[in-house]
Amino acid sequence: MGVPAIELQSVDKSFRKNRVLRGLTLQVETGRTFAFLGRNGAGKTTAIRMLLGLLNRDDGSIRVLGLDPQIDPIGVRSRVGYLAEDQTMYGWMRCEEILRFMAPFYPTWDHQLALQYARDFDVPLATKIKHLSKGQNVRLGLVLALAHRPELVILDDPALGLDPIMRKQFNRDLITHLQGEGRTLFYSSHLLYEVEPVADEVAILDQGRIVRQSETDALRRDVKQIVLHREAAAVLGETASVLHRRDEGQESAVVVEEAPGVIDGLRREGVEHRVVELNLDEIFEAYVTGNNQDQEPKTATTLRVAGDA
Amino acid sequence: MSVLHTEKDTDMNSVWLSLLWKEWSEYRWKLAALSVAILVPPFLFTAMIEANSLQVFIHNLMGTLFSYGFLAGMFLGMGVAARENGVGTTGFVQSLPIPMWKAAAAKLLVASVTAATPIVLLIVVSYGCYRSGFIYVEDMNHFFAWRNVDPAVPGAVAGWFLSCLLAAVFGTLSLLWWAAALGVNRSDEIRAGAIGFLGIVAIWFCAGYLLYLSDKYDLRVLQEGLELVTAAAPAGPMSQFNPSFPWSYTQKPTYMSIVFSMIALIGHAGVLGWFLFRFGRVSPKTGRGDKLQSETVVAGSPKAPFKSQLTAIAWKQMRETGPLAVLALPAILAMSGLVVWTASDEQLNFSQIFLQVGASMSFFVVLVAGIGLYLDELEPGLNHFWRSRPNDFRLWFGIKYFAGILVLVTVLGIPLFLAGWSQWSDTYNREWKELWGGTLFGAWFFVITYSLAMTAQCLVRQPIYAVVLTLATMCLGVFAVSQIDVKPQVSVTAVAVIGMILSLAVVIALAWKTVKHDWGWKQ
Repeated sequence: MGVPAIELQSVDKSFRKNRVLRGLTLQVETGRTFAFLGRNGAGKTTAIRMLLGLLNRDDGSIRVLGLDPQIDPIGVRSRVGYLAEDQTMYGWMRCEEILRFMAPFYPTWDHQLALQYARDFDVPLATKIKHLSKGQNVRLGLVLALAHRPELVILDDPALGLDPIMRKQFNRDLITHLQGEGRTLFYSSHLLYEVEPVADEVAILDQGRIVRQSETDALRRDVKQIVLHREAAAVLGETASVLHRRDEGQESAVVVEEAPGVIDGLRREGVEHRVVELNLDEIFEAYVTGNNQDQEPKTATTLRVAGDA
Repeated sequence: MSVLHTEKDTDMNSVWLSLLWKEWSEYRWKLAALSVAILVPPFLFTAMIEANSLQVFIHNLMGTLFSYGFLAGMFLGMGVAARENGVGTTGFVQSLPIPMWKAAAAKLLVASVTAATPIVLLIVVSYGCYRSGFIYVEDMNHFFAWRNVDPAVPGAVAGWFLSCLLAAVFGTLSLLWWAAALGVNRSDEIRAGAIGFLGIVAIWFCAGYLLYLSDKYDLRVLQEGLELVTAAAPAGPMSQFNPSFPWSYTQKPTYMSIVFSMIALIGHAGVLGWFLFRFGRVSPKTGRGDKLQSETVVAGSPKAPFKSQLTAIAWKQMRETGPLAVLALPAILAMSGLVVWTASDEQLNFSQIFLQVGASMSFFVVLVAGIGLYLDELEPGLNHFWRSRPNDFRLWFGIKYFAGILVLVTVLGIPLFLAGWSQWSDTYNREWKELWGGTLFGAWFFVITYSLAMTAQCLVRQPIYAVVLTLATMCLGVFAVSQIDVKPQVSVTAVAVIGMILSLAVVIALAWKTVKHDWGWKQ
C-alpha cells in the first residue's frame, strides 16, 4: 500500500482555553471516499484548516499526500482541491475571470478542463460572482477545486445552504463523478443520510475526538439497536458497549457496538429481544448524543418553553 | 409568558430603542476613538511648538477641526452608506418587519451624534483652557482683530468659540449626510467613499469655478445667488458660522442670513430624504444567478489564463484600485488643470490654493486606497479563500502593494508633481534643490500615508478605526521628529532620508507580519 492521502496522529489544537481537537487520529487511504462527520462545532473545519496548513497544530503530526502542511503548505495546496463551506470569492470578478486568475497558482491547472467543468456544472461564465445563486457558487467553487486535477479533494460541508434537490444532485452526480475518476475524497458533513450512499469509510468526530472510524458497511453491521426488557437492558449495559439507551415503559431501546456478538449472547441466554437496523444518521446520533446526554434535556426544555411563547 | 422576555428586554420594547441600541453598540467605540483623535493634536502640536500661546493653539485648533470635519464626515458617511452591504447584513435588516427608512434614520442619527460629539468636546475643553488661563493669552486684540472679534466686548470670545463649534458641527454633518446619500447602497465602504468623494468634489469644483467666474467678470447678482446656493452644498452650512468667510452671518444682513439658512435646510432635507428613501433598496448580495443560466457561454472564444502569479495578482489589484483612482482622476485633472490655468492669472492666486486642494484630495484618496488594499481580503470569507490557495505570499503581498501604489502614482502623483513643477517654474529664484527636496518629501508622504493606512486597516480591520490609527501615528511621528536634535555636523538631509526609508520599512514590515500571520482585531 502506498502513502496514505491523509494521516493525523494525536493532533491537539486549542484556541486559548477552548480545546477544539483532542488527540485526533485518523488515516485516509488513497482512492477512498472518506466522510468526516460531526456536529457543528465538533472541530471538523479546524481539522481541515490544519490539513491545508492554514492553522498550526499544538501537538501531534499531520501528513497530507506525504507532506507536512505546516512545513510545506504551498506544496499541499498545489496538490489538493479544496472547497470551503459557504466559500466566498471575489464578487467583482466574472466566473470566467476567476478561472483565468486562479490558473497560474496551480502548476497542473488545465484550463480546458476548467472550462469543460464549468459547462458541465452549468456555471454562468459571463456572470459576476456576486450575482451567483448559492448553487452556482458551490459549483464554481468545485470547478476551482478540480481544474488542476488534484490527487486529493477536500470538501468542507460543500452542500451547506443548497436546497434538498440540489444537495441530492450534488452527492449523486458530483461525488460519483469524482469517485469515477479515482480521486481521494475527504468529505466533511453533518448530514449523514447524504454521505451514506457515497462514502467508503466514515469517521465520527465529537468534541474534538474521533469516536468511531470504520468502513460504512462495517459500521452499519456493527452498530444496531436492540429493544428488550428494561431489566435485561440494565444488565446489558454492564457487559456491552452501549452508545445510547432510551427507556419507554417496560422496554428499553439500546444502541450497541459489536452488535453481532451482543445479539449472539442474548440468543444464547434466551433473552427476548428485537433488532432494529439503523441508518448512518441514527448511528451518528447514537455516538454523539450518547456522549452529551446530560445536555439534551436542558436543550429540549429550552426549546419547549420558547415554543410556548 | 415565555422565558424569552426578561427585564432587559423591556428596556428595548420599541423599534426605535432597539435600532438605536444596535447602532450605539456599533458606534460607541468609534466615538471614543474619534474623541481621542480630535482632542490630542491641538494640544500636542501647541506643546511641540513650545509656545503655549492662544494664537498657536487656535491655529492648531482650526487645523484640527478642518481635518477632523472632512475625514470624520467622509468616513462615517461611507460607513453609514455601505457598511451593512459590506458585511452582508443588508438582507437581515431588510427582513425586519420595519420600514427601511427607520433603520436608515437610526443609523444616520447615531453616526451624526458620533461625528458631532468630539467637536463639542474639543471646543468645550479649549474654551475651558482659555478661561482658566491654561493657555497663555498673548496679544489677543491683534489676534482677534482680523476675525472681527473684540475681546473687550463681554461674550465676544465665547461667541467666537461658539461660531467655531457651529461651523464645525454643521460642516461635518453636512459632509456626512452628503457622503451617505451619494454612496448609499454601494457594495462596500470604499466604493461608497469613492462615489461620495467624487460627487462632493464635483459639486465643490462647480461652485468654486462659478464663483471664480462671477467674481472675475464682476457679476454681483450671480455671485450673491451662488453664495446663497452653496448653503445646500456639502459642508456649505459651515460658511454661515465661520466669521472668516465673506458670506457669514456676521458680514451679511439678517434677511440674507435667513435665506441662507432656509436654503441650507431645504437642500439638506432633500439629501436626507434621498438617503432615507434609497437605503436598503437593493438586492442582497446573492440570488440573481438563477435568472442568469443563459450566460454560461462567454461571447467569443474564452481568454487564455494568466501566465504567472505576478500578472494575475497585478491584474487583480489594478482592477480593485483602478476604479477608485479613475473616479478621482477627473476631479484631480480638473483641479490640476485649473491650477495650471490660473497660474498665469495674477488677479487671484488660485494656483497655490488649488495645489493645496489637490494635495488634500490626494491625501484622502491615498488614505482610502491604502485602507481598501486589504479591506475585503481580510473579511473572514475571502481571507480564508485566498489563504487556502497555493499562492506565494511574498508575491501576493508585494505585487498587491506595488500595483496599488503604481496606479495611485500614475493617476494622482504625476498630475500633482506637474502642478508643483508649474508653481516652481513660476517662482523668481528657482532652486533645483527645492524642487527635488519637495518632490522627495511629497513622494514619501504619499507612500507613507498609503502604507500606514494599509497597516492600520490590517490591524484594526474597520476603515474608521484605520483612519484614526493612521492619523494618530502621523501625529506621533511629527511629534517625535520635532524632538530630534540634529547636531550641526550631521547632514539634515541624510538624517531625513534615512528617517523616511526607516519609517517606510517599519510600517511595511508590520503590515507584512500582520497579513502573513493573520494578526489584527477580528470582530
